[in-house]
Amino acid sequence: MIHIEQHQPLKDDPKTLVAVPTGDYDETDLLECYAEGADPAVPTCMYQAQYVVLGRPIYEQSEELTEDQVAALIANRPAHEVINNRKLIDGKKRASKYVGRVVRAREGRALKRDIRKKVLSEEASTTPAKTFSDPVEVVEPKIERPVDGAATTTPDTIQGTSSEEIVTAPASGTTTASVATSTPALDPVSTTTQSALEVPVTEGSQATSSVGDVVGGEAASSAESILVPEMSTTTIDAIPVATSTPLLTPTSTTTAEEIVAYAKKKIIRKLGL
Amino acid sequence: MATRALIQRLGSQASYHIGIEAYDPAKLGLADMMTQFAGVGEAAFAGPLPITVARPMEQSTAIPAVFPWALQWQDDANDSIDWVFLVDNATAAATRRIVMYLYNRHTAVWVWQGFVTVTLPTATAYTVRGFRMTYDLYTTGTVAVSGTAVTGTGTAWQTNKVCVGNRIGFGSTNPALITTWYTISAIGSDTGITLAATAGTIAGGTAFVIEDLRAVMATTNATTTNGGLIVVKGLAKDLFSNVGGAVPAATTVDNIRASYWLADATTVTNITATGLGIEPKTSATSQFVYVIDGTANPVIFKYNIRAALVPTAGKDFSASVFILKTGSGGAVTGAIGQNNNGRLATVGHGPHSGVSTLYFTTASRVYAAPVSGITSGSTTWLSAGTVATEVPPGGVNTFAATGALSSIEYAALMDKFVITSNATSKCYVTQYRTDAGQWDRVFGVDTRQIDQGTADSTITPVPSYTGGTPSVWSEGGLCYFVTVGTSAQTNRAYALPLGADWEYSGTTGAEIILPELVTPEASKYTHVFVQENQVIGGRTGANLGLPTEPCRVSYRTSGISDDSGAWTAVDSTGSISGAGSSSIQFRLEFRTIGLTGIPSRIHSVGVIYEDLGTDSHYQPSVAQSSTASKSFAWRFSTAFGSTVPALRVRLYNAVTGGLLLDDTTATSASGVFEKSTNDGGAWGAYNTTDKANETTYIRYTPTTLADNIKVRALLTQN
Repeated sequence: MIHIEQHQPLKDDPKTLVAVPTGDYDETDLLECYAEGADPAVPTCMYQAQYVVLGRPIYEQSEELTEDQVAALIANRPAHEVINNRKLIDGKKRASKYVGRVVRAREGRALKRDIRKKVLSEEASTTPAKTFSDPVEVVEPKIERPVDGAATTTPDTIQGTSSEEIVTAPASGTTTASVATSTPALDPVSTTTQSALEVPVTEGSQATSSVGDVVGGEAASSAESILVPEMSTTTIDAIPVATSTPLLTPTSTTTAEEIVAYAKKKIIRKLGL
Repeated sequence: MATRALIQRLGSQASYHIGIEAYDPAKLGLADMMTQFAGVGEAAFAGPLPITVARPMEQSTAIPAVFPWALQWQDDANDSIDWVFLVDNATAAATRRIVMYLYNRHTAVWVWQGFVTVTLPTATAYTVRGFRMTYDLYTTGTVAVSGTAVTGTGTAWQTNKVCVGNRIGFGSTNPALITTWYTISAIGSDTGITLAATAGTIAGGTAFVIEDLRAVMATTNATTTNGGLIVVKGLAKDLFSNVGGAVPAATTVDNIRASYWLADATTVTNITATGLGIEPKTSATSQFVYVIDGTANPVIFKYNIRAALVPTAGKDFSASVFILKTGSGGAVTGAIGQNNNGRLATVGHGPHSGVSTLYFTTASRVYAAPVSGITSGSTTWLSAGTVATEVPPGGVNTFAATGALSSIEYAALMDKFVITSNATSKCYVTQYRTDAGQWDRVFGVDTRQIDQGTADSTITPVPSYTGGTPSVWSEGGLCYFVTVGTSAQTNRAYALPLGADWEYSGTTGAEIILPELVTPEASKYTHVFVQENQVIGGRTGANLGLPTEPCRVSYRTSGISDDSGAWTAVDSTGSISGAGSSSIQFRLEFRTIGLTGIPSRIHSVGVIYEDLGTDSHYQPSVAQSSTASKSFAWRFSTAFGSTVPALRVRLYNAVTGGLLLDDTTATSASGVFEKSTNDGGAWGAYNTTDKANETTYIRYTPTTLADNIKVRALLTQN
């Protein structure tokens, strides 16, 4: 996975900017981009995520980049030392899925399906199976990045659960969280918890938690900052503080605390904390 | 009569380009694909372009690149440069690279220009099955430039679909004369362009030229319904570089530097492309491409690659883009290969002469489908055409048919097809014929030579098939021959002057015309000799050098000054039997379609002739001549070694030079020839018996000759 900031310029072309929302993407995902000074809502071209961040040198190698190579390039190791370096290629894991996605600017950031699947599968013994019956197909939250405090849209249905709203916390606006009838999506107001559905684990990436980006969250350097929007630690407008009481009251036997706890555990493990 | 020899050394002769510059009898005439190299010793020669090799896998960025497409970008008195493009053959991926070389038709040198990486409109794995480029110039109108703003007068840039990313030059409509190019970053209107960098101030009324360079690729995809036709717009030569220019996938905007997916439907059915044929552009909004789909029961998809696009995520399948899909033409004999297999051509021979026809191969057949029969839903488009069976020259009892035909290319200069086969067989140059007759020519061989950059220095490149089925493109007679592979050993590119072959020189004009050779007092020409390099490369030790293909000579002694004279061929003996003349001129033709195809290299050409001095077998004799009887005698000094040929006596007025008498031993019309074998003791009838002894003489006495004339008597062979 590779981290992308919305509006970041291409490494090799500062006048072309990324239109898709901030997030982590598969290296071969096609991301819509726009020209500097133009309307980001009207992107004019698409580039691979890896090209956006790493630039032309990646195409000097016929084989797909490996994880080691991506990490080395992100760590600013000179491209000529990384590209076509057999030691970093032979026997190494390929960085990207072979088949990427076309990510439209309006569709939201890429879902870290594989990571979540891996996470959930690892936690199968501790995670209530009936809550996440098929992680791969659970949710692809098409939640637009809130702009100017606009309310978020409704996410897709969680398989095996009834539909529910996933609450985000916009910068200044208000939003309303409805009570889930089954599985809670997240507890965005907690300062120490994070979304149970979105496990933002991108090793090595920096936390860029920003308002409204709670869902589908971003890699963080600390568990606490993962899903902590810039908001009051007590209240967020109409969103009550959830300290011991989950925001969403599930009707399943799984409690919000359990879900949150599971997520927290996973994050801590991933971050090596 | 003395024997003389004159020689012309090649390598540094003043020259002109036949067909481009005016004929000059004093210079060496070089037709297209002919060249002259200066140097010392064997390095100096003239002949067809030597075979040289390019190695895409040995460039700074190793890219296995195949399916050549070439353009004669410059062809004038100053230079002759081809642009040669190849497409990525690496493992299927979401990006494909296009490689560019420059090839110099005067020096046979390949120059690596670089590559671009094209991001394709779905994030899935593509394989290119058919590849072309298009190149068009826009020169209508004039411009004024202020910084990055270009204002046109009489221009129609938007109407003519100029693309962002194209390059523009000012001051000429000839791209070869442009010294500084600028990239177009925006096209605001028919008369407004924005440049990516300032061009300063250029006064109005200035000529300009825009190069519109595009790529067209028929693809298959690991996600099958993501296959189809890709058009890449907005390319420019400057984008190709060692570090690789990047071309994005399009989204919703047309006519920018991006890749576009021309699809046949929401769910694409053009998923098994084997190759394509492309028609010439007919307007700014019309140019058709035919994609052959299917390896056993082919279907044809027709697209308009210049239709205005309204893409979504780079994809457009509107009715103006996707024109039609035929039905299955029926089962073909043999499988249709997917190595750029398809060629649209209007040939000048065969059952489809003068008709735009789509040709493609199966393993053992060549199919031809007239475009007129390629209609929507048609199931007769194939049967309405014809099919040719592979019959090697000499018949199947001379050469076994390959049964492995791979692709087909049309060499317009020769009006012949180049048909490739697999890596262990041979290729053909042939007309298209459906009468089961023999194909015309074969060429090439698998020598196992792989021409790596670190190969032994004594080899000479040879287009061996080793490791890769050839893919070819013919441009102006030059055949770009690229083996389809993915490693340095199996992926190599050669430039072969197939169109220079002597079999087609009457059509192609492929020849070298030597400068006029003045032959003073030439009485009779006897021989021509040619010094050529018979082995190119090492001749000792491992003997890695290879023999060349042959050349042939012809000559003329009249019509030299105005290039009007007819040529007389000379066979391998080199014998010329023509009467002497004031000058002679030679022409060279070459075989270039052969086992190795290594063209000959000519170092020198010469002529041997008898001049107007006394024949070298005789010496004038004062003792046996008589002014009183007006007899002229010669001693038989050197034997012929055979019967004495007919001799000729000419008496000239030594003062005025006027010819007084001209007679031969064959006719004796004006006098009497006699012979003595005893020092003039006794004279008998003349005979043609060779010299008997040192006292053998002949003499001639004219029947009538005026008195008091100073006479010069000349004895030569007739």
